[in-house]
Amino acid sequence: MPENLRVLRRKREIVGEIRQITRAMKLVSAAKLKRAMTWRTAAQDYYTEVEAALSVVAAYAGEIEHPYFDEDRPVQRIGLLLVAGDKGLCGAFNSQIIGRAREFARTAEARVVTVTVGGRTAEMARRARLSVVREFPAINERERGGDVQEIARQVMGMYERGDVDRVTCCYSRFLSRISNQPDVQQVLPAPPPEPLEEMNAPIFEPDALELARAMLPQYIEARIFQLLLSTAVSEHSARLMAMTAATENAEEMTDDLTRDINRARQAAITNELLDIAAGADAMGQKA
Amino acid sequence: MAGEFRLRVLTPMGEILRTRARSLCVTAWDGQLGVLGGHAPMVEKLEIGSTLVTESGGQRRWFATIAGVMRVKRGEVVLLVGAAEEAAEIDVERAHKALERARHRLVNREGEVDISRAELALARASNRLKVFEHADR
Repeated sequence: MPENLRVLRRKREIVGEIRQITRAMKLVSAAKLKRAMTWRTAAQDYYTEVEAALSVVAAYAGEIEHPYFDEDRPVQRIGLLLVAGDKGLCGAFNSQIIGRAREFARTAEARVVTVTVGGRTAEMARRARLSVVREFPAINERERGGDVQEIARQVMGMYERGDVDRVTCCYSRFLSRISNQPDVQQVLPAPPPEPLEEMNAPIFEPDALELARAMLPQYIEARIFQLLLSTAVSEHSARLMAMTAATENAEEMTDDLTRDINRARQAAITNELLDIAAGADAMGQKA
Repeated sequence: MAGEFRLRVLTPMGEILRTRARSLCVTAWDGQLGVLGGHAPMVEKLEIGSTLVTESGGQRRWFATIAGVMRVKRGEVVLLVGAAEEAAEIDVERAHKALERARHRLVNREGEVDISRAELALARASNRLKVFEHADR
């Protein structure tokens, strides 16, 4: 077998193996995406209900004075909760989020310190010259409740202690299975809930103001939960898209290589035939 | 039936329970509190503890719940809690381990221990065990 043909065949084999891997990753991502989407919906339902309950409480609590609503606090340092993907192989997903965070830090009116979430986020953030004060691994999907709580407590604590005067979250907003977008949202101080009066004033235990204060951490936590899960869903969908494209490319490449192989084989056969014919010719002339 | 109401238990992890209930007993901020159908609208602060649901069929179900709020609406009650676990599903071994771990952390205080976190873990683990033991099975 001519050298050229052997090389081409080996190449096709390798591309086939890569295709198998990307196809498997595609299937895994699809399954993970589906699961993460249900979780995201659950977190959204919870947030909606907490917000609604807080709205009712707020309607009867009068002015809620709480650091979480204090818009007038002078901003000396901003805490950026930077949430990116857990792993790579998802196209430009991670670098787009980091890029958005970098842009935020560049245009911010105060010094920005970063708390990162995600397997490689801290490393990427440092490379983008963001100052990282705390890093969390990506949320573990089974223990996500506890993980999110820990992250939320960390940023709320920083805000309460005055380490930072504002908390902003840079995450990926999930739009649809084929599109997501890096986004920045302020978490603290939070927008006060829209007061929602009920037909008959409900009973509040303890009184509305105290209840509102007690509910605020829960409200902020639910919000952060939502942002984290949105990013997780986006990551899986980004990987699904990247792996689908990779699989398609591999298939295309296999087709091209098959064509090349056929051509090379044909050429080899033609050459051999020519050799034989030429040899026979030469013999004939001798005789 | 007039005495029944819709009941939902929601956590950030998802909806733990959606059922029709006859009565409900929660751990409120100032002690146990019972809710029957036709209760006036109310928002109540909940503490870590047990929640007992009596379903319309008479079946009693126990849950270990952590802090949150209960919202009573007309004909519907919604519990919004950080986590809820049904007694039958509580992993006793895991709870014991978590309890030990939290105790160990609080007693030894090696290095940088987040006291409030360890205390919270302790409270959760012992709550799970308590609910598991008290639940009638």
